[in-house]
Amino acid sequence: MSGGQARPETKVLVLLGLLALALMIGASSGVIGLSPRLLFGDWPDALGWQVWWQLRLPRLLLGVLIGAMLAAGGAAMQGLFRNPLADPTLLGLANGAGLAVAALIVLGGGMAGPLGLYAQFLAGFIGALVVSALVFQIGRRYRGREAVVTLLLAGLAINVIAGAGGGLLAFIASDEQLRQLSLWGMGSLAHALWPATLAAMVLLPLALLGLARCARGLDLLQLGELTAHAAGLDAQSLRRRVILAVSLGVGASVALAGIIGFIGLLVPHVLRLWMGPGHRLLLPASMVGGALLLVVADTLARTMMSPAEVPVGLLTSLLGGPYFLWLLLRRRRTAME
Amino acid sequence: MRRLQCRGVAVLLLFGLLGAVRFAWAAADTVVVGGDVAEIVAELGRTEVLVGRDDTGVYPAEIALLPSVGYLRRLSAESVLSLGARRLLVSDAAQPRETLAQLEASGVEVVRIDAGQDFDALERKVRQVATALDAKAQGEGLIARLDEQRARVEGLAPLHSRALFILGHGGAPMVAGRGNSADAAMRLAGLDWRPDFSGYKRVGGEALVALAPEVVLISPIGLEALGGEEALWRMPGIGMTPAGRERRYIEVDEQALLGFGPRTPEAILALHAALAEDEAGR
Repeated sequence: MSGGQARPETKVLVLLGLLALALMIGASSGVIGLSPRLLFGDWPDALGWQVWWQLRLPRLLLGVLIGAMLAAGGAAMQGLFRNPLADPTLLGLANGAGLAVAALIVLGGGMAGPLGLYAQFLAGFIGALVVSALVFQIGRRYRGREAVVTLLLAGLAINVIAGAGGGLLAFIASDEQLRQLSLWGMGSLAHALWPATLAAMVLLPLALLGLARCARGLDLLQLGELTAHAAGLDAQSLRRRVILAVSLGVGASVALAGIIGFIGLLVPHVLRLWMGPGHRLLLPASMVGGALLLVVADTLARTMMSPAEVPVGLLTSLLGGPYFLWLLLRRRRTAME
Repeated sequence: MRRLQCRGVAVLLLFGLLGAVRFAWAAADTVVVGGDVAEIVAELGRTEVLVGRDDTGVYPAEIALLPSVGYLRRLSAESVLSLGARRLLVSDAAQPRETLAQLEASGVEVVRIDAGQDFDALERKVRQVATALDAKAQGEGLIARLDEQRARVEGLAPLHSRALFILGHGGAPMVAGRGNSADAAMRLAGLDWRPDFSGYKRVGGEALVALAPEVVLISPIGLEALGGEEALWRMPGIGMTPAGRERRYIEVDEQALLGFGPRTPEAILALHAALAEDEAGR
């Protein structure tokens, strides 16, 4: 399965190097051009510095954290369900979280300020948790190919329900709330400010750490539940930990940036082809790869059509949608052969 | 004899009353679609013919009280028919076209009103509505008044502010570029500068800084949607613009200014006055 000849650690280093490069480019490109030399102490003028510090840096950090979270969440869910198509967006976790946040805004009176932000985190977490529990209950009843299809269909149904719920909320929402809601239509990092980024810097690493600690368990689980049990794995506790960490991370990501699709599908897949299926390597590599993808995509979103801005969720879906389709077709072909 | 006369008068009165009711019932058969068209109907003093409006018809109060048939760009034939409408006064901006065709097929008279965004179009709108409502005299009166205001608008001194029209929020603020009604109204108010894109686009924090607006134009509804003035200045990037540093913003009546209805010339004059005062105070 593993592609290149290089040692796996080298591959992670390559990814890290690419991420550093993307961050450098992202930090220096934008509507207001800033020289990359700024990173080596060549400070720009006051306005340039302010733009960099107040706008660009929090946005880059948020991109790194959310990208890492979505990709690692996807990798972990794929491992847990032993289903290569499990993804927080496809299975409806992101939309569930989005619906919960939207419900909070419309029914809870749309709190503003830092307290409102944490309330939204909580709502997103609960929404994602409910959906993952539901999806898991559905997924465990089936085995093999049947499970793959059922899970995807369940995700589809949940996405439809969440979409309808969102439409219903939009219907009863006031004009003011409606404008707040429109954020959840297409994910964007555009309103990254320090308070939100700092909150993300506390919550998301927690979720990421939680996932990283599940790597060994996920590897054992791939051998089948019986073998894993014989090897001393508490599958029940592993499931709970993965679902909690993914729900926390995805819920917070959605509350902060809306729904940014397909990162959780795309990144682990590409990396699995490149460096093999072992989670001890795949999880950290997915974090780096997800961060890389979202930072690059968001830099494009900021600069492609400037001064106008493209929602970054649109870009990732443009990339991920066709990849997903290709993946489905390829699976079908290998099944027939 | 007198009793007979009395009875005659009573009968006449009754008939008269019935006739009036009948007349009113027969006359109120029109649904108006488009806020600008509705305002013109009200200006002409013919709201009594209306049985409905669409969601964009919110001014004046007598229009807003009417039942709505939905949103201008998502018209449904059934909701128009359910009000017993036999005539539709509809802005050319209305969608979808198929609904209008369905209504025509159901025997509703569909009167299309110009949807242009300049004074000539406004005059055409008034003429078309006045003709449809048989109120030509009132129409000419309104046009004369609008003409007088138009002359004043066309005599306005040019302004030099970099004024940024912010429509709404959700992620990044939605900002007006060129080729839309905000562009048209701002040009008439004497404003030359605009962001260099067409339509309304979301603009991120850095781009806001680069645009460096000196004053923000926003509607009271838009401001409320943001969460008030404080929230406006908390938007990413805006604090680093000249407008944000000096907290300069002007509230504009979006419906009046952008609708290109009877209140638009006045709204343009008011915007010019507010901007001129703002420029003088800088």
